[in-house]
Amino acid sequence: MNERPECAEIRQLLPELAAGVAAGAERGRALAHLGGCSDCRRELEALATVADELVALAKPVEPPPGFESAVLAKIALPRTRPRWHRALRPAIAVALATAIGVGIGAVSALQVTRDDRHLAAVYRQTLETAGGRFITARRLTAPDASRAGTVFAYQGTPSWVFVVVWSGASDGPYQVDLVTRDGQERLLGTMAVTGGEASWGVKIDLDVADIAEIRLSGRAEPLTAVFR
Amino acid sequence: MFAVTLSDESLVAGMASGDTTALAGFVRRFQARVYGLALAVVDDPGLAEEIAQDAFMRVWWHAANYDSRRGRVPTWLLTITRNLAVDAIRLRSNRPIDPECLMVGLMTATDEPEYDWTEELRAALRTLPTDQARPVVLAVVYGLTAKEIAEKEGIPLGTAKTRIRRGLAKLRTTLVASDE
Repeated sequence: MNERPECAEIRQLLPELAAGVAAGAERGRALAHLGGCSDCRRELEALATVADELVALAKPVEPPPGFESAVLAKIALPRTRPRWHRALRPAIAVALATAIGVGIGAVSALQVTRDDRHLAAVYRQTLETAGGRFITARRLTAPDASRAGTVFAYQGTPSWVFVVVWSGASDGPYQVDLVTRDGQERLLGTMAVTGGEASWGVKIDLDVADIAEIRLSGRAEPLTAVFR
Repeated sequence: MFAVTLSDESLVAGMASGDTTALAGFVRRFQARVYGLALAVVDDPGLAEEIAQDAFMRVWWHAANYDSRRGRVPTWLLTITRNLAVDAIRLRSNRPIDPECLMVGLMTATDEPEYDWTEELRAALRTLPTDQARPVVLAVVYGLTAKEIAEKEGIPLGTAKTRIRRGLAKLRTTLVASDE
């Protein structure tokens, strides 16, 4: 065993990492170390196995009748987000829809409809309620150029970035980096993709207008959202 | 009969090729475990059913990505279920977190333990001091961070981290011992 000096510190973080609840900065530090330390990786795998088996101890309960039919019926439907995910960011959804509406409205200002004005009003009200300046969204692109998800960026107090991944990413940890317009790279944290999907957010301490790119780096080629 | 005789991995491979019969067999095989876990976390039958359905949908969509080297099929499926359930309760302002009730459920023996170590892990959980078992369950099953656990339990952050660490370490010792 070639235990390095930082191993002792990282080992303290591994239980929370194994449980999937490590805080962003600690998680990033641990993952950076794990990339080059097979001993700590083995330790993490052992703890993660315990966590997995603990979850598996939950008592089986038969679901209501018709459960299997309901699942089979769902696969025939177009793919949608689950209801609680749809409820996750109603303000964002409204604001985003409105932002799109506002953008379209700017192009054809003379043809603004009542619905557009209503959307704009909802957008303004949402921002007033939150005390924010604007919210925007960019397409998250997979290495094969397909759409992998969306990156939202909100300018307010605090400003934040929220990443949603729904396809094109393999399971595992991803490092989330922000590239500024002057070319600096900042580590925002790490997120885990499970079942090909993930959602993750973090506060940022710079203006959204200064973002050039958000990059998700995992084992394969990175996923990117271009802001510039 | 088809589904009963096939391995978990074969059913996943069937789903990866778009075989709905494999999905039906897979659902029948795991629906009680998936629904039971979702219900244990969210304590809401309607929401648990939706989470369980979504967990199976994700397996259907991502069956081709399953890699047996990275874990058994039930582990993969239950991890997806747990993550969905944690996401769901995080959206609720009144998160129904009742670790005592859940711990009783985890510690109660089932008629047919899946693996040899299942009952040993269950027994080890029973022997953990409550002040370690609770933080472990809150973190692993409910997805609470150490900071959230510290606030909920009224203990310093460092203490919460220590209890999670010691609790998991003791459970790990049990699994390692049962593996030898």
